[in-house]
Amino acid sequence: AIQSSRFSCVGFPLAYIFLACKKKSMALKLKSSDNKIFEVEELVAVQSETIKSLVEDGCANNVIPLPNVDSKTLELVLDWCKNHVDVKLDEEKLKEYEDKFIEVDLAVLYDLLMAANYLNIKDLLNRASQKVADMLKGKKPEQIRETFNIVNDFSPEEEEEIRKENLWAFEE
Amino acid sequence: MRERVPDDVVEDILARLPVKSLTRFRCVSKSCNSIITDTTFINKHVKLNLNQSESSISANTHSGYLLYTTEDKDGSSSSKELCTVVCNNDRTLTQVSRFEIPSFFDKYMIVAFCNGLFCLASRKKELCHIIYLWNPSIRMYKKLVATRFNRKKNERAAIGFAYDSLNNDFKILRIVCNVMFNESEAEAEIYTLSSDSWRKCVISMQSLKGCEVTEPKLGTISFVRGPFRFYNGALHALAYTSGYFFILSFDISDESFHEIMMPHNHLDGVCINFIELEVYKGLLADFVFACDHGNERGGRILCHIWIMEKYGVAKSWTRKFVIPMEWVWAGNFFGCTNNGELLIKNATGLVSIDPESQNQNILDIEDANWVAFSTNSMESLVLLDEGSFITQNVYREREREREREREREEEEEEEKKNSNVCSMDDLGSASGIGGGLDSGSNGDCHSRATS
Repeated sequence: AIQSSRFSCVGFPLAYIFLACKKKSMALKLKSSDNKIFEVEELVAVQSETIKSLVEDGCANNVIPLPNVDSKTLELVLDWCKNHVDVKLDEEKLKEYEDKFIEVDLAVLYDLLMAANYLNIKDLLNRASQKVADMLKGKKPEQIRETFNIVNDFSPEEEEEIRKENLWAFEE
Repeated sequence: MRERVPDDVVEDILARLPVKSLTRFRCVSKSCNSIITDTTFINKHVKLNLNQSESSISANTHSGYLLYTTEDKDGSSSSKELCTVVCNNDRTLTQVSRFEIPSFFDKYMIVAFCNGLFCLASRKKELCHIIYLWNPSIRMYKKLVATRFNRKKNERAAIGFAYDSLNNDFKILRIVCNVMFNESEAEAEIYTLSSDSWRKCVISMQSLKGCEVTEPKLGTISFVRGPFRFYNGALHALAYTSGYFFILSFDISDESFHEIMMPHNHLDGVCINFIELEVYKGLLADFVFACDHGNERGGRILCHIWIMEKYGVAKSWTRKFVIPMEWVWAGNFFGCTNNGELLIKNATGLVSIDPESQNQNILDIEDANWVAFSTNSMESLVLLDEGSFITQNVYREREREREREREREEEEEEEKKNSNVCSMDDLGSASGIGGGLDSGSNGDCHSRATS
């Protein structure tokens, strides 16, 4: 009798905590820059180190505003997170998913890169950075300037000097 | 209006680009140029590429790289090139890169290479006090002048070169010792690329305890057979002190010296042609190329392969194989491939020999002077922030002329103190056998494939 009473005594708060945790992990509300609300499982959302630290600091009870991420990008990012939370996915399938995921145009890639950086999602940032690098690899300096709106601040002579020293790099 | 990508993200993207693209992108803008030529970025690029090449090794997409320098085709040094080929899993070879070797490297041998950087030292003079760092992928080099220790005669230098991944630095170890016993103590100095300077370094005797010979003063090291072989975070070379051989190791990060004992009595009853330290399937190994007297045909070799099963534990030396093979000259054994095949240049040409089956596989490459095997192959921007360009022929010729003049002066100086040939040279590659980048001679430069 003593034993059972001890159990019930301990059992109640334990169950309560368990329920509370469960409830908490059920959903977080994220608000995109264009004011759309996304309800996601905590397990999915905390792949973002930024959100994780908000949750740990107890700042995640209400809606978490993400003013730097629009809804279109956030949807993509959350899809990435969902697919990386499922440990059952085998490596090959995951690679297949990632390859398909990252096959986007430069504008979307830019948004993903910025979001991954802001939300601090390491694997996504890595993957997006690698994709950008792959896209840049074969480009000419002029194309780089055009793509990123970079103004050439070299004088023609200065530019010529660098080119001359590195002719081999400009060969096909 | 779009937000600018933060600088660290830009750097991270750039660090994933190949050297050729980065060199091209230097003319995008001033800020682009300053990022790419910045030392911090260069180091970041090295680190990221190291990680990537490590994961490519574990992915087993290939079985390593073969590096070699081509021989002169028409006698003109301008035709010499450094080639890298990847060894595919189906035993075919595919060329990865090909770089022209600057003609002023004619009298220099490749000491070692790592992370896209090559270390060359003069092979004519035993003192090796003129050393070049060369980054072929960005066509840049840096000349280093080591200390001319105030010494008299009979001195030899041994050089080691490796990357210290703990401190993200390239280091050169140079030990000068006197082959005449006890005439003077061995002296060591270290060059670090980050500081761009040499500093003296004490060869501490402490770690050299525990050997049977009494009073083995490390100061009396009379011979170190360079170049050092980089393995397990340390440089290794065969060294000789009062009466016995041992392996002198130098920890590239904490810069401590250690002694590793050779297999007990491993040279008993063996008529040595030459000995090499190498890495066999990830373990430190001692290759003894001995004359095979038992063979009627003569002119054959028995290669004894001793493997140190547990690093640093002398008792773990095991003689794994004794392989009969055709004659091999000193300097024509270039180490082992990832799968443990010996790379050898013999009468047949360049071959790989499987110690287990003793099968000989001919490697189909052009005539090569210097050959090395490397598990990874990477290009880096190292030296971009402080090296000199190897550019047009005119410049090259001018540099060569200046070099010749200097050499002439030095040779005159050297001749004044010409040294005797020491008996223990017979054990190693005989002194004075040229190799390196010069053509037509059997090299005693040992490829040091670092990974």
